[in-house]
Amino acid sequence: MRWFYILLLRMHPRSFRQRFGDEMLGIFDQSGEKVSLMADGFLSLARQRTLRQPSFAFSPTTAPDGVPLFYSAEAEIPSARALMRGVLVAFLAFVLFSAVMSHRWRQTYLIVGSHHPSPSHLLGAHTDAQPVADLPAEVKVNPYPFHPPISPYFRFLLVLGALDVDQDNVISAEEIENAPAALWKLDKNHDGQLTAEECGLKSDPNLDPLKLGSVRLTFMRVHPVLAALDANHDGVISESEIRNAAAALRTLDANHDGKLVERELLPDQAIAMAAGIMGMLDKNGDGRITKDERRGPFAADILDRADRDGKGYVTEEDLVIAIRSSPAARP
Amino acid sequence: MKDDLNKFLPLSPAALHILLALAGEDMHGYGIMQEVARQSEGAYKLGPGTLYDNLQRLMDQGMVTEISSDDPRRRIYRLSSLGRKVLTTEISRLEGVVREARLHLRRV
Repeated sequence: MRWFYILLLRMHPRSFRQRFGDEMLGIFDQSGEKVSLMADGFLSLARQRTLRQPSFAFSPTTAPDGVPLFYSAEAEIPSARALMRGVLVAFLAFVLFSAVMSHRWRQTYLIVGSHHPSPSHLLGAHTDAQPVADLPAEVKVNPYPFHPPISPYFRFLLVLGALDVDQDNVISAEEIENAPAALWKLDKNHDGQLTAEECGLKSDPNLDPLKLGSVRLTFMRVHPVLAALDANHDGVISESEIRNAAAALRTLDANHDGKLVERELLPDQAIAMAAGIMGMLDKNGDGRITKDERRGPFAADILDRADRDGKGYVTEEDLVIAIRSSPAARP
Repeated sequence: MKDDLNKFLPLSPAALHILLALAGEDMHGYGIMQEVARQSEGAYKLGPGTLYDNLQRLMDQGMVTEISSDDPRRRIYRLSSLGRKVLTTEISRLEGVVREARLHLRRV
């Protein structure tokens, strides 16, 4: 510790060190509180190097005839040692900055670069964004400051998020053509098919298996894009269905403009509402809501109207008809 | 003259304690540290870095002078007449502060 204190003293300005260094070291040797004296030494060093440095006093004088004399600062230029220290500090700052920028925990938004390493880049950029290698390389510059936010539906349904590569809430003709490659990226377990969970379903793994199967089938059926892709409606988008994805998506193009916009992709409200009610009340997943499964006043009006023939239970089809015929649904 | 003294005020706690310690007698650095600890009953302890940084400044301002000593490794410091005047002015200023503080605290 004494050696370190001597080092601290040596870092003080020479004039201070020569004047008080020996005395400070003598006090350090006598004192038992070495740690606090070390801290005091650091503070002293900081003060001496920042507050007590001599400042250049430029004070032009005036000659007897009243003409001001200009002060020449030639003799006050920094010494060679000070310049060398400056070079060293600048180099260390550059190394530190480079290390911070290239490390994984750096802020990626600070970097303007490519997703792909290239010899032309000084720093490689690593992001978690989906690479766009499957599409022709294209750089789009938005001339407008406003960029539409990603639609919540596109964000919720992973299939739409994968298909809409440029995130403009429109599945363009190129993106439809690129659909198989985009869908393969969702196959997280590489089993060659897409389950409801891989398409965006957040299911409760503790659910009864029968109920879970019903939830998955409903999910794949309610969303038009999933229903179109899952051509055989078995609740799974198989390998052959993925290969045929582009043709399946074109069936959703109601206005035949070659692209799919959100209104062509959103589920029918009555079907979605009916599926939601079924999901909440059909506890055993048998596709029927019995009197025992009803939960008090919840959706009681719709359920009463849905059981119009008094059979004692309600199916999803009954609910859809009841919802569409309700006064609120009429234009 | 008072205006000349006021430019040194208010004194920092370290400078005040150093001048107070030297007001009684000439001392070397370690003695000043011990005297400051005694005056403040251990509540304020000066480290050598703080001590000599302040001593340097006080000597540059002419409030403390260095006198010759038998031991060249132990320098003795003395309060100059300017230092004594500055200390006296600072004590007067502090007395005014204490008086005002007591007055206000009594109202509360």
